[in-house]
Amino acid sequence: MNKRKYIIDTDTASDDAVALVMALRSDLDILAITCTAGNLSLAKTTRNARLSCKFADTYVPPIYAGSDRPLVKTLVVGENVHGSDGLGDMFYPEPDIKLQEGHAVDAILEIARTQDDVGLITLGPLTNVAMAILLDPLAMRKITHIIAMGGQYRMTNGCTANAEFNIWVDGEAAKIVLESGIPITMVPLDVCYGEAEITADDRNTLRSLKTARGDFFVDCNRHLLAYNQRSYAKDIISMPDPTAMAVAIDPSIVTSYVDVYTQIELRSSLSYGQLIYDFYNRHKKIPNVRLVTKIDAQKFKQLVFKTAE
Amino acid sequence: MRKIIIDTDTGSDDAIALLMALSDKNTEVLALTTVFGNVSLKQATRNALISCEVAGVSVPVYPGMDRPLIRDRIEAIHVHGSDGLGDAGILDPKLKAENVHAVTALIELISKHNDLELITLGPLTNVALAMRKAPDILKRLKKIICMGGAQLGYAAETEVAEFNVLADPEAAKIVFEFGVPLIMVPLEVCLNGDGRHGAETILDELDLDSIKAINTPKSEFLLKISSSLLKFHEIYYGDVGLELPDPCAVAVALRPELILNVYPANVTVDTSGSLSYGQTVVNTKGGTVLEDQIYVANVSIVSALDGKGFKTMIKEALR
Repeated sequence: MNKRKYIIDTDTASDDAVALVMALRSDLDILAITCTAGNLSLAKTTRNARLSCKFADTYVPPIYAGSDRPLVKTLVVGENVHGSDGLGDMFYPEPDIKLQEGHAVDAILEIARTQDDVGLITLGPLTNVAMAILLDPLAMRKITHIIAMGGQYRMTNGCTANAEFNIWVDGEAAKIVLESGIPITMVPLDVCYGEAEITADDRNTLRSLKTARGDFFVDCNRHLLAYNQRSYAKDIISMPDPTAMAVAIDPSIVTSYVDVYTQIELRSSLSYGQLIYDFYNRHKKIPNVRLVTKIDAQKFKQLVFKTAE
Repeated sequence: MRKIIIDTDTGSDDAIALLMALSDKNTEVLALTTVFGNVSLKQATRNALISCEVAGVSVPVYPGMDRPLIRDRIEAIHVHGSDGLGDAGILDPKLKAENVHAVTALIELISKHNDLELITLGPLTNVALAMRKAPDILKRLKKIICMGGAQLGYAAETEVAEFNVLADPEAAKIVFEFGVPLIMVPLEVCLNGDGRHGAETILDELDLDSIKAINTPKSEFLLKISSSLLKFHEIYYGDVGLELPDPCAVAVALRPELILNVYPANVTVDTSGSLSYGQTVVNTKGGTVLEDQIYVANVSIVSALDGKGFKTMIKEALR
């Protein structure tokens, strides 16, 4: 059987890093890693993507730098969540992996034009993907589907009260992607918290493996741990991007979903970046999003543990 | 004795809520103030007077605003029938409304009474205007129990907004941010957690049968005026169910012990006029870009109600 082919677009900070390691140690064929600004500046996300490949210790797909800012908005980063280096301020040494020449958007388009059956996994703001859609919508229609970590539907205060960070950072880009016609599976924050949270016991499990990767997963997320303790009074590491990656690696992790027509609020100052789900089908529109509403959290954690071995 | 005023856009579930409050022995209802909403102001006032007659009490009814502050008027006759009482041929009342504006009456009554509680069952236009006209007096309210708004992901009128708030978002913003303790009874307390039927508080076929057996003018009235709401539910869900948001708010006010869960939050109202217009924006704690924000909880959100106790309360009111 042919391996399933994906491009990963990422604003690599701590939970992205875990997701990248998972991808490179899975059965997926990762054709390229394209980086965008988001959690951190573009310089930092590209560095962290290269570092993640080092920790994955399998193969190194071409890594491209892409957008250094959102389409319209000013960039707001999340260093308060992930640390100033995005990896828990562990300041890992510079990896001996080079960036590819060329822009991430061109790399995405080139793959879309020349290869079939390619999917896209997005772990950050959707700027690169939106730009690719704007530049060559026909080529992008060949992308079979997008699995996106993004949005929230009942959990409040992910980024703002009603918006999740990846969508909020570049709401305009998200709108372009939502309206592109590419089938989107959305993994919202809601399913990345709760049962999927990496508890103290889970962290002990990772440490007890005594592997570089097990330690990396815990160490690089130590700022995220502190953030969850501060913000939500929870002694956990939340793993949104690994959850989305797990959905790509093993679709059976999704145990419940809703196909729903989804819009985005861009004009309200209070609710900018909020995804507006038409659960009752008021607009009689064809659903553009498959919203994941429940995952098999144990299966997800086992996948994280197995990757760290 | 608990002293209350009820501000209402009297449709069918408001009428049931009024019966409950007007029949409660431990509660003195000082006045009803009416507002457009489910139906026109005129119809809401008529229905409030009818409710008083059925309850067998005479309480002053003050008509108030017939339109929202800013937006165009919306109504819900598809839910409550064109007369707001299920188009069941209920006759006009003999009681007459007062010739004083609801906003004037609210200010007057609140200035004269301590420990007064306000229950709002409709759009918040009257209350907002009273707050702007006489803020110092309105600050004397002990608390406001408001049927309105929804938590994130549960709304039903638009994707993100609940009817009472959507009908006048600007007024709701004024009221939510005013500073009087506000207890929010969101829509989903009277639907279930998925925003679908099956909630503990929804009257099912058995409940309706036992109400029929009570066989008083009040129980007969309830069944008559609920036909439109029942039909609405059946079209959506294909079974028998009577959803009663406004009675839930009265239950919260009169029987706080029925509250199973309540939490403090910072709530404001989206007045953008865009997709999220009329949304109650609930902030609790945290968020990547709001981490350092300090929230002052201005609202207590009731998120679960004892359905069994609620139903018992309704049945007692009908005897």
